[in-house]
Amino acid sequence: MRENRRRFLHSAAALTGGTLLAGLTGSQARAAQGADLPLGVPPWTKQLGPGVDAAPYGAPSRYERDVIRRNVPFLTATTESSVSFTPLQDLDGVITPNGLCFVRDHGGTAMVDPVQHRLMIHGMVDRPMVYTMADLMRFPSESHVYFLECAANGGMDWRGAQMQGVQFSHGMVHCCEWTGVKLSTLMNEAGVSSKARWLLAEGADAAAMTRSIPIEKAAGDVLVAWSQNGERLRPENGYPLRLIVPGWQGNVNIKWLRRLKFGQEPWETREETSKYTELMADGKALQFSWAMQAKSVITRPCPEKPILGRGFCEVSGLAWSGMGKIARVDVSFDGGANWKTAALQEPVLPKSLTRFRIPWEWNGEVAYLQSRAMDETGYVQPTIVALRNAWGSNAIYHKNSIHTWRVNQNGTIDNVQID
Amino acid sequence: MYKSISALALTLAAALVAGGAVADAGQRYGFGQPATPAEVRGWNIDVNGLTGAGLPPGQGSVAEGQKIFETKCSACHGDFGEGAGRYPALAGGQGTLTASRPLKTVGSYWPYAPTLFDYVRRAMPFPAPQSLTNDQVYAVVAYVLSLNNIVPGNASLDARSLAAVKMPNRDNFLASTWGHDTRPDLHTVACMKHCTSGPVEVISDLVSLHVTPPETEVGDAGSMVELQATPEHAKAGSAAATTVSFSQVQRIILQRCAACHAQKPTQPGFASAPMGVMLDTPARIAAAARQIDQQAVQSQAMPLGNITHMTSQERKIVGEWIAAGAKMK
Ligand code: HEC
Ligand code: HEC
Repeated sequence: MRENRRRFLHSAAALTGGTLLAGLTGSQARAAQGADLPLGVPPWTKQLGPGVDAAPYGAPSRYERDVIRRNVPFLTATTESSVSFTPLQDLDGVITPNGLCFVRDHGGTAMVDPVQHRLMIHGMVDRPMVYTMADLMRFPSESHVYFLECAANGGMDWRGAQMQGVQFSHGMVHCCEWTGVKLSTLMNEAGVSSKARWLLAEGADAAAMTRSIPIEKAAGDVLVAWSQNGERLRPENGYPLRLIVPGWQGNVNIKWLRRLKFGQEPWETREETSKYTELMADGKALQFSWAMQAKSVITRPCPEKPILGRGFCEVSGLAWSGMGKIARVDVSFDGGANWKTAALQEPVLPKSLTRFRIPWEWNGEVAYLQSRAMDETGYVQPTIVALRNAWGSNAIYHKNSIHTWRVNQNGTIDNVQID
Repeated sequence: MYKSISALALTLAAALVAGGAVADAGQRYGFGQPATPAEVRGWNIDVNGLTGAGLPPGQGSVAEGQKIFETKCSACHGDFGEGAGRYPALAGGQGTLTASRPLKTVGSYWPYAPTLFDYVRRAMPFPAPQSLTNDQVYAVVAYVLSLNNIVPGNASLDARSLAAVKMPNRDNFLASTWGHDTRPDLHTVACMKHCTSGPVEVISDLVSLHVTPPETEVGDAGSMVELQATPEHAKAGSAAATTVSFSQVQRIILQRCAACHAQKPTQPGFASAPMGVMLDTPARIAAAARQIDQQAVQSQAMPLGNITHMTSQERKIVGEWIAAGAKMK
């Protein structure tokens, strides 16, 4: 049996290279590599690889095929109104690769033909307009890096620790460089009435998603975007056109944007009454809590990336705030008794993910890792207990509390909540 | 030159924000086409939930709505709007909003009736959105409201009567406005040293409390964001482990073993289940209880290299399930 196992590991190593071994400790991996490695000459050195035209649109190495979005089938009735989460545990820096950006659809992914797509602007405007994609792309454009977070990110952990893994506890956030025309430019084109107070944005998907946005935000930093990270939007992220409402809950960033209507009152759509409202313990519901408040999480180590041994361990994670720049991130290794300030990776951009890192020596004992973000407005990320005391545990949305990972003696990590 | 342009932009931006109005100033590019009234009419389907503005001509009765509901809606939302499987309930739940598990429905939660017309017309029935006529939408809206005892069983609704319907939960919404957030301000202080006293007290522990909900427990999850587990039922901590449920075990095995031991393994390097041992369905897990015991509880040879990080608590839970007869419930 033991022999079998060794033979299996050996052949698996040859088959899969690093992937299987990535989870093993150093000595296990060495044992598995067999006698002729690491000094042996690997097969890819002894033969030609494929030519440059083999992958006209490249894909990640096949050894990275575990780095994927994942959904949780039991969360929803159908995958068309559901979510798949960003694998934060596998990502470095702050930019999310397009294929890994979390997806939250309410009526499936609309497969829009850009030639047939139109954006209509009407309502309280002097000049109701219709634009083709080609028209829109003639306007002056801008590029900005912004995070985009679903209001429900972390919502499954309101009542208690449920999601074993940072992909599921925090993976409804991504961060891209968006390119498009400022909405204010289009408002100027249409001549929006000085009496207009609100804007309705509508998608072309099967949910015909609609949200109301106050005119002050619309005239501010909102983008009508066609590109993410340098290429056209992915279908699941709104191709060919979407709204980017920096710092605000994902749902208002209407995908497959087809209509903007100006009016005097909010529309009170289903997505801003039945959903995306926070039910407090006293039965009252908060409406229009748009901005995502400061939040952070350690993405390494995490349940998916346990600690492989004692000694040096870089603790790294992400912080973000819909109110502006991240000013500081503190990290605690003892469950919040003592904190140290982490280094922030420059450039620190407003309403963007911000990468923080802090060195740590792990002594092999149980530890409770936490991170706490503070943004430039002075807002400090709250504890789960403080948040629950103020909000109850039925709010679903806007759960931005300090997250705790317990490091067990064997280096594995668990999602826990502490007092 | 550069300076003056950005100064102009600043003034413009300030004017936009300060006046809250959009000045008709700055360069116009003139791209695009004017939208004709006919084009606008084709797309202008929104209804204001608060005022009912935009409700179209037409009408429909509860009785007509019932027929439509039974053919086009009840498969997912239940005969009486109670919700089938994980699809959302549309009726019931009144009086539950302060309960530990509120049931949010059209009747118990929605503040405005015209919103229901707007939503059903644009998005339902889920598999065939925008397929109902305005009369059909009025009818099915009347039926859903009657299921919630908000309109009588003989009601017929049109634009005016629907806009006049007062929803029971209407007064319980606190809306933020621009610059006025209704969220409680927590005033958290960023303490740095000796911020807590005494040892760390874990109040919710995923591993020993098993709060990840088994499928049957998920209520009101037509929208994934409604998912909430109930750690309350497991608060007894380790005492809870004496009655290990099959769903806990299934969760552990799926998480720790099924990457390799499945008909189609997802673990790279595995073309088929090792030694033919498949642990990917409830029946297969139950049938392999003995082997699981040997490999994952007794010898702990599995998971291979513990690549999936099975914890000792999990081995204990699986062991207890087997000791209690490896039942499938
Ligand atoms: C990384 C892949 C992998 C994972 C994860 C894994 N196994 Fe295995 N398992 C194997 C391989 C390979 C074999 C056959 C070779 C061997 O035993 O060396 C095997 C064999 C087995 C056998 C048959 C052993 C025998 O001798 O009859 C059982 C039973 C088993 N595993 C149970 C489990 C259980 C239970 C888990 C989860 C707790 C698990 N395995 C997780 C790879 C895996
Ligand atoms: C195939 C299943 C299916 C059918 C059939 C269906 N629905 Fe739905 N319904 C859904 C799903 C899924 C959602 C949640 C969509 C989302 O998450 O945005 C939903 C949501 C709703 C909601 C909003 C619930 C809330 O509290 O926010 C209403 C109202 C509704 N449906 C009414 C109807 C009506 C009326 C019909 C028939 C004309 C219908 N549905 C047919 C699946 C269905």
